[in-house]
Amino acid sequence: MSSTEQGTSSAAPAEPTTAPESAAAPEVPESFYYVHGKDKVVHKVSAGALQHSALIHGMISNLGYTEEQAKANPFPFENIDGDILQMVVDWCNQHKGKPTPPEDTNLPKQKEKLFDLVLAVNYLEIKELLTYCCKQVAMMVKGKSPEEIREIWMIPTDAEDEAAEKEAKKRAGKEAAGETAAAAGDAK
Amino acid sequence: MSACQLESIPFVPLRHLLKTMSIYNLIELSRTSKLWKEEIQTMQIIQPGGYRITIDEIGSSVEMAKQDCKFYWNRKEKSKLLEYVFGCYRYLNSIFPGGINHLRICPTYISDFEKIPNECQILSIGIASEIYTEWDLESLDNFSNLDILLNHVNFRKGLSLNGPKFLIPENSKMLNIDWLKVENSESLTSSILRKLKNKIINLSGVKFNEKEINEYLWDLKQGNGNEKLQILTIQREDGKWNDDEVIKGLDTYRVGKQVYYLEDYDPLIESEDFLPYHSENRICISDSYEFRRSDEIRCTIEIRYSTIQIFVWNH
Repeated sequence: MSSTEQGTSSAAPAEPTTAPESAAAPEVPESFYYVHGKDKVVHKVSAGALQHSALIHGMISNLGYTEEQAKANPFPFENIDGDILQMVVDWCNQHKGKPTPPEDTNLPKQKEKLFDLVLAVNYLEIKELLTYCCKQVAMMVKGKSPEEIREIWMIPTDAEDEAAEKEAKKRAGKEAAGETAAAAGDAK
Repeated sequence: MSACQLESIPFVPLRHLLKTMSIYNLIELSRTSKLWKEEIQTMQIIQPGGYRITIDEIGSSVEMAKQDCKFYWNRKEKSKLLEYVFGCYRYLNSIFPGGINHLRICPTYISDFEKIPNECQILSIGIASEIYTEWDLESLDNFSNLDILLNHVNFRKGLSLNGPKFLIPENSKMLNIDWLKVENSESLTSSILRKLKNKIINLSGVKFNEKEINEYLWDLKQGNGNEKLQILTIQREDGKWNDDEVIKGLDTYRVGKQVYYLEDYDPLIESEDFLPYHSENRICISDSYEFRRSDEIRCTIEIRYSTIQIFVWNH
């Protein structure tokens, strides 16, 4: 077929057969949700980042939480310290929609923070981050002796365990005796 | 929020944490307190797949079959060495239970045999003779009775008598265990051979002549032999077997290449050379002779220079 038959100049570029991609797939605006910890500081997190947390993802999809509702009522995590929640939010944002690397070197080095992070991540059900945290906690005792492990992880000795058990039994006995006495008083 | 106490960690992350720890670290953790020892036992973090224990003249070791974990000791005073080895095994087995798959021990430890755990799957006694000193070999001249060891240890699947010289105990357990291997069988008589009721037998360095093998095959054919027998390997130290003498009067027929499949193949059988050359449960037999037993079961005899292999197709 010649160009004249088409009624166009031969120099004119051929018409594209498909529409440009930008026109076909308009970008969907990302939705955001809000969370706060013990310190009540509200953190804004994208839905994509929150997918890491099976707990929050389940709350959003099962309860049909909308962005507006979430803005008015941020997800409360009263059992998580503000700085720990900030760490979790940062991690989720950094790893949004990305495959997680085999190691994460940005985890806290202080053991108190790391233990708190383990508890928070376990509660929020963030599997990959939990794996990193557990590896990091395990690294604390790599090559250490039982005495050193006991010190690092604050493990009581058998004698201390036995003493604590005796103490607990004694306390329970006293409490039971107190309750019986109170019940007898009530009966009078 | 938390103190850094390990016991503050809930079950799921704790299990996760313990799984990321090396076996050596878990062992150290189990030694911190009774509570953590019990915790590691209960959680069954590691599956050792059984243990292999070696106690010989060069060194001794305890290793896990399915984990990259091995403890070893160099030559030490014998009684102390046994304490270390079995102390180590008993501790490991208490936190990662698996039992002993294979126990290899030198006969020179005879005076300490009662210290040995009394249960294993395969028991091997002795190693290659070049390992032993002259003194060791001399001490074995007075070594009369392996029964102490064989009576003490309940070996469930196999027994391997590896030398350094002829070691034949007068023990009924040897005659009845499923897998038997005897190195240095020069003093093994044909009457002992007839008493063997094992499934897999490997005898090296035998001094039998063709007539004795022929008589054994006659018994087998007439249904008076070892009914459990699946594979028997008999190897001479030197010299070729005379095929005609071995099969004389048995009314055999020639068969070409075929494959023998071992019944109930157990990978533990690989711990020692109980079987002839094979690939898992497959054993290739080249040109051979066959006869049928009185109960119509086929018996194949493969003769290759100094080795005779007898396969009974009783499955």
